[in-house]
Amino acid sequence: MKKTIIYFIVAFLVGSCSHPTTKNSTEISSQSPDPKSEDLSNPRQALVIGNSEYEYSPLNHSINDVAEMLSQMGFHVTIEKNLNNHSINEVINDFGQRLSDSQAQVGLFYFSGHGTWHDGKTFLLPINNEKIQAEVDLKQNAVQAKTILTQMEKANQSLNIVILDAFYENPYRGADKKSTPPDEGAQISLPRGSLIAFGAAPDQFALKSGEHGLYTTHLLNVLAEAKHKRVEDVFMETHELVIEASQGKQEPWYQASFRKPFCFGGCL
Amino acid sequence: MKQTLTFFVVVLLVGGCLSPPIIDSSTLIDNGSTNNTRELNSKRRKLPPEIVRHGNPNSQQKALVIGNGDYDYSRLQNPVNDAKAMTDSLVNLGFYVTRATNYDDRSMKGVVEDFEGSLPQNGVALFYFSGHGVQVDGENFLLPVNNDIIDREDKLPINAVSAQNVLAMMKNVNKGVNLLVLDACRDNPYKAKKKGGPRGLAGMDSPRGALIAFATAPGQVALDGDGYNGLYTSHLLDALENAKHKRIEDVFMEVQSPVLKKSNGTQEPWYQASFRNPFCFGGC
Repeated sequence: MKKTIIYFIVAFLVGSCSHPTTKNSTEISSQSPDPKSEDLSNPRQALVIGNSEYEYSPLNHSINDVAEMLSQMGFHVTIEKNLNNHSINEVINDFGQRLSDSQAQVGLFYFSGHGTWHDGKTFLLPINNEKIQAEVDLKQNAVQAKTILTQMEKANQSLNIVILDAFYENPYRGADKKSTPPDEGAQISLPRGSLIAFGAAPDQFALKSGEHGLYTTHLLNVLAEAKHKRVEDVFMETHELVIEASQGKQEPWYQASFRKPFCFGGCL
Repeated sequence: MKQTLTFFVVVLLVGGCLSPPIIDSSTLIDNGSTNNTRELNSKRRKLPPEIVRHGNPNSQQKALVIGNGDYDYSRLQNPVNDAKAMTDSLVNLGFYVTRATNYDDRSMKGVVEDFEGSLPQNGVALFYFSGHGVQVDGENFLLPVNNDIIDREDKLPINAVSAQNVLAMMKNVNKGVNLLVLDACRDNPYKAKKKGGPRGLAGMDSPRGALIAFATAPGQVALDGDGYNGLYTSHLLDALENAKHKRIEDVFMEVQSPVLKKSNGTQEPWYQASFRNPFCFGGC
């Protein structure tokens, strides 16, 4: 118990002092040539995280197309690559701040990298995954998917979308000794005005396709035609395509709880 | 001392709900202030349980509608009416409806089992409950009318019906669309014991092909009786009247703002959906 408290204090100290000057951080914006002024005036804010250079079991995929697509859809996009546990938490906090400073109407979080589950919860892994030797290490050394949604909802009560294209295969050393996966993915009860989409069920190995995961590849195709489509339909369509392409081996899923219908280009 | 404590918990279990209990001359429950009036309802004649079936038995849309009002403790005025109105509305939408009212624990479990046996493999299944509900550790329990037997938390899994189990059962049999609608309070009577525990996000997982709708938000503390019983169901009935060919999510979205408004912002209905294909009553 004492240990936990000390850990929290330390985390707080470092979290509030250091300024994020992550070298891999890029900001892209659709219209304005001056990203700083555009930053916070855009009611659509996205955070795209791509973790591939893992200490253990590195991955090989790109998130540039996702960022590009979102920016075409009118989002201000913050791109972050290869985050360790400290910076991923920091980046998520900053994103929450950005959502609230910009009075965002739509917040979107996308993650591609290793994922796993423990105790019915989904975790996203930072690149320093050598720190994770067993399930019990996840709580302190990885990010819970629900935390992201909670952070976003605190800052923006309109609409938040979380997309997780997580690779569940061999995410950390010792992961093969895992407990059985939760019944239907990690249980998350959504706050109103949110959607969470998973690229695969936690006990499935997400397949690759080109420089993306199979899921992201299809999602990008569907998003390209998404304009006045209901956002639920975007995910339903993507999911059908992935199920078909993987011959049922990979089953994405989503959950949504909305106040009103949402389409990226306005519902007709 | 221990006895008193236990009893207190029981009253909270049933009393912390949206709707005011009906107080008649034979039940002297002083809701809220004291809880030492256990003698009471032995003399009161309870309303008999009732089961009715409506609609076309060959329909691929099957519904089980339960309305529990005549509780041993803390009776509720509207669940039986809610169940009747909901039945009519669902029959209009093409459902074959089994309506069970004022059911005790055994008959509730029995009727759920019968429902399981009647479900289509790839159709539409709907479960509706109006009555007292309890949320403990993220699990939602629907209380039978003989709630005097539930005097401890660990009796809930035995004597109440778990909404999670009902949904799991529906999902297991029917691979089509499963809908679960609960007009029940979900106050956690043990909240005081679990300070700092998770609040607000303790709800249910909706597996693919399912929609779960609650009269209140997950973890939202229910109103303590301002005469809003049936508020959710009455607006749901309105929405269902024009539901044909409408996306099912929209039907439940429609219910939110009028209920929020009429409850002065204290009750906001909630739903969560996860579908393989768009679903509308009568086809999209």
